[in-house]
Amino acid sequence: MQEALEIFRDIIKYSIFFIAADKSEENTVRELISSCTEYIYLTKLSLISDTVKSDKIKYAEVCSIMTACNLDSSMHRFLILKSAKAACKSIGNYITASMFIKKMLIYEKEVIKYIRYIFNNLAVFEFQKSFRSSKARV
Amino acid sequence: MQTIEDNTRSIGKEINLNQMDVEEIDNRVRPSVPLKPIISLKNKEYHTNWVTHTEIRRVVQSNLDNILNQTDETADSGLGGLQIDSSTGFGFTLGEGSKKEETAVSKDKVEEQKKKIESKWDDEEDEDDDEEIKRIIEEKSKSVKNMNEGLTIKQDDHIYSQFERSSVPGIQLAIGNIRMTLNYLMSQLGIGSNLEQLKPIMKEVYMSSYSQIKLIPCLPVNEFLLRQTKNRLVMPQNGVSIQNMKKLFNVYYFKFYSI
Repeated sequence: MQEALEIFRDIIKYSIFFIAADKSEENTVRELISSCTEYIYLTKLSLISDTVKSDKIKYAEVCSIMTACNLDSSMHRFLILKSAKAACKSIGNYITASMFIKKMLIYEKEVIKYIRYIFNNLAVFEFQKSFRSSKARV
Repeated sequence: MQTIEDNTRSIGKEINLNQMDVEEIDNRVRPSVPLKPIISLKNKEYHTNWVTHTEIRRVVQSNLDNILNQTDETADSGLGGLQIDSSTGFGFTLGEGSKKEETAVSKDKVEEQKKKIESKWDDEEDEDDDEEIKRIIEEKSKSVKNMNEGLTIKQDDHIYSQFERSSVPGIQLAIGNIRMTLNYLMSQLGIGSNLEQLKPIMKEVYMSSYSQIKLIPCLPVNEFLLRQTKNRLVMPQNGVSIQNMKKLFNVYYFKFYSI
């Protein structure tokens, strides 16, 4: 995570010296900077959560703050909501856990699509592996 | 030879040509002006008739001045042949009259300064002191010569002159005006402190904006990277591009799936 934090920071530093020719390029770089800032927040919070894992209440608090980050991918949001739900459930705070579950349902379809895509690819990869191994034997 | 013989036979006359005559004709075809060295010092590579890219790069005014300001032996022996014509094709011209006048004026100034320094100590009539001063002056002049002797100074490209006044810090950094980039960072983004974090990045960006791609041997090397945009504008290209930044971003973007 520490490496990720450094790299996201470096991207923002590099973007200072970017020479944009068009407005479209400028907008893309702006989007990249905004996404980088959000991921920096997330990495920082995840590093804090690793240190406070023994204290369950604090851990749940940090996890619930992590859900406030505006991340690009729906899968990332889903995973964070899932971890926050589990943390709240472990404490016994079922009200906030149910709130996280409601939010998770929004990303259900997209997540299912993603999982199906992964499974399909996995099947292809396994087939390729088996084909290569059979070739090697021959 | 064969064509001449055939022509003579067709006319009806026969002319016997000696090979010695032909050699004389060949010698006349060659350049009438023999190869003259510009400077008869260590730089024996520079010749007036041999015009190549490397010569143009090396023979710059500052480099010449250093050689011109050397001892009087050079003036007697080699400076008479200082002939650089404007046939280089890269805008380097050096006339005979004007440059000589300039060098003469600079030499006079140096001599006057030396005389002034020496005249201060005339009243005391101490030869030792004069010798010491002479030694100091000689040592200083030698050190300056040695500093500039091995250097190859390049003429500024027209690209630099185009982008010198741009207010984009990236362009200023690519050109090498680091002081200007820092000023623009302060004025545009308010970055005035903790600049040590940006040091390695600035180094990388500066180093990545130069290359040595030699396409045609007679043309100068494409050192400064440029790119053509959609509107057919030519912009300088840093090492910082959207693709590179996205690649960096995607390295840890996909690692977050394992949270």
